Amino acid sequence: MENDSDIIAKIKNGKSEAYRLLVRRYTQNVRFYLAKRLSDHHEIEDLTQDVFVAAYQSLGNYDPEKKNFNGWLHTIAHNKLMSHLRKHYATTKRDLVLESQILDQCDNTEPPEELIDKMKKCLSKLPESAQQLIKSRYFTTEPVMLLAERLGSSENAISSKLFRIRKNLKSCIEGDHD
Amino acid sequence: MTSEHINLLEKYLAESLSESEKEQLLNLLSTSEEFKTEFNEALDTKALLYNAINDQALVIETMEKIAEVDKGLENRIMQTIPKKKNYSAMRIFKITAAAALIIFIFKLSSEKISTVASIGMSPETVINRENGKVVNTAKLLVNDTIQTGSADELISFKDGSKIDLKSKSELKLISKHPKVFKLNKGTVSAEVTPQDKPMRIETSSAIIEVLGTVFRLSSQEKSSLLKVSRGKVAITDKKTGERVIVNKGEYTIAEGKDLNIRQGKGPLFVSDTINSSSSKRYIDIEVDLTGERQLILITSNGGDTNNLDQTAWLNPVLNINGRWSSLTKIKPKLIKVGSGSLETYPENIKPQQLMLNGKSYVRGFYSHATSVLIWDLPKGTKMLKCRGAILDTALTGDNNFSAKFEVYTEISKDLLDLYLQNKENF
Repeated sequence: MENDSDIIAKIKNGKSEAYRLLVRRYTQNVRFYLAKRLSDHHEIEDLTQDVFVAAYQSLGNYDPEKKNFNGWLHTIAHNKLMSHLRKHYATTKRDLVLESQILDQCDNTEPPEELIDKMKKCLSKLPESAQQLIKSRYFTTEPVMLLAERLGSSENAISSKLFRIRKNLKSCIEGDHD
Repeated sequence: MTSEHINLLEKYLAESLSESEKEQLLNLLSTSEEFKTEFNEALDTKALLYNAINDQALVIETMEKIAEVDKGLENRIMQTIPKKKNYSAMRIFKITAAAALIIFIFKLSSEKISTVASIGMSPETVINRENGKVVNTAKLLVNDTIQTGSADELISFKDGSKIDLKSKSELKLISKHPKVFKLNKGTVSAEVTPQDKPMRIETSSAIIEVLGTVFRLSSQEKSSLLKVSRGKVAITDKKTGERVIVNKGEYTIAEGKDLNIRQGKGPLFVSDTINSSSSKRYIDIEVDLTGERQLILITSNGGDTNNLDQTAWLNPVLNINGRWSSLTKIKPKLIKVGSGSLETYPENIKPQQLMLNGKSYVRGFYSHATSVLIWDLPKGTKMLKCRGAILDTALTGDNNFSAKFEVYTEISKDLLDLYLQNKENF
C-alpha cells in the first residue's frame, strides 16, 4: 500500500486525483470523531466532507515530517467541529464550557477496521426493534418525547433500554458473547 | 450508575439536555470518575455504531467538492503548494535569505497597517495576499482578500467602524483612506462611523457609498441587495448607471434594471435570476432566523415569459434550539403556486420528481414559480438551510426556464399582492 507521504507528494505535484486514496483511507476515522459529538446524519456526513476539502485546501501548509496525516486531519476535524458547534449549538456560555470539556475528553483513538466489522455483526444480531431504537435515538432528529410517545414508553424506560443495548453491544464486540 | 445518571447520559447523546441538566452533567464529569468512564465509553460506542451503519467512504461526493474547489481556487492552491522540494545546501541558503527578506518587509508593512484594520480570524477564515500567498494574520494589508468559511468574521477599524463579513463571503480591501472594498461574493453587514470621505463597496453589479450608517449588502453574481437600517447609502447600478439614495428602513436590489426603492425589512435573501445562461440551476441558501416568527419563501418567474419555471426548495431544514428538523414537517399557513398544487415529499410526491442533476432529493417542496409559501415558525428557530433549484424536468431542450428564489420574514401587502397576482403569469 502506498504510504501517505508518497500520495501527498503526488497531489502536490498536480495529481489531485490521488487525494481520492486519502479520502478512502481516512473517512471512517474522521466520521468516528465527529459522530461522537454530533447526532444528525446530514451534519456528520457534510462535516466529514468539509474536513477533507479543508485539508485539501491547506495541503500546501502540511509537512509530513512534522505530523502524520491522520493526526493533522484530526486537528482540522476538531477545529471544524468546534466552529460548527459554536455556530449551531452553543447558545450559552455553559454550552461552550460543556462542549470544550467534552471535546477535551474525547481521545484521539480511531476504531480499527475490525472493530467496525465486529460492530456490524453485533448490530445485526440485535432484534429489529432494538436496531430501530438505536437509529432513531442517536442518528435522527426525532425528539425524545415523540420517540417515547411513538413507542408507548417513558423517557426513562427508553434511556435504560438504550443503556443496556449499548452495554450489550460493547461486550459483544469485545468478544464476550461472540 | 444510577438510573438518573443513565438518563442524563442518554439525554446528552440525543442532544436533549435542559439547562439545569447540562450543569449537572458538567458537575458529574468533573467529580465522578465512574461517570466519566461511562460517558467516554458511551461516546465511543455511539460513534462506532454510526460508523457501522454508515460505512461508505465519501469519495465521490468529496472529490466532486474538491473539483469545485480546484476550479474556483486553482491559482491560489497551486501558489501555496510548493512545486518541488530539493534541499541542496545552496537552496537552503536561498530560502533562508528570502525568508529573512520577507520577514523584514512584513515588519515594515505591518507597522504601517496597524492603523488600518484588524480581523478576528475565525479558524476557517483565509486571507489571500496580493503576492498570491495565503497568510494567517490579524492585520490586514491593502489588496488582501478575506475569505470566510462557515463562520462570520468581524473586521474592526481604528475609527470604530465595523464590518461583519458573513459566512461564505469574499471581501477585498482596495484602499484604506478612503475605505474602499470589493465584495466578490456573499454578504457584509456594516456599522460605519462618520467618515470624511465616503466609504465605498463595489460588487459585480453595484457600487455603494457610505458616509456613516448601518447597512447590509449582499452580492450574487449578477445582483446586489442593499438594506439600510440607519442613515443613508448611495447605490449605483453598474449596468444602467442609475444612482439612488437608500434611506433608513429601505432596501433596493441592483440587477441591471430600474432601481426600485422599497420600504420595510426586505428579503433576507434574493438569488440572481437562474436561467439557461446561469452556471448552475441551483443556489444554496442559508439565512439567520433568530427571533423571527414567520418564514416566507417565494419563487418568482424571473421577469420573462419563460414558463418552465419548475422550481423546488430542496432539503429545507430549520435549526430549532440547536436541533435540525425538516421544514417539510410543518404545514405552510399560506400556499400559492403557479401551476398545479404544492407538492411536498414525503407526503405527496415520488422522490424521482425532485430530481436535480440526476440526483433525487428526499425532502422538499415542489412549487412552480410564481409561488408563495408562508409558515409560522416554531419558537426557538435559528436558521434555515435549503437549496433553491430548477428541477431536471424543466430541461426540455428549449431552455425555457428562469426563476428567482427569495426569502422573507416580513413582506409588505403591496409586494405580496404583486406575487399573488403573478400567480398565473408563468
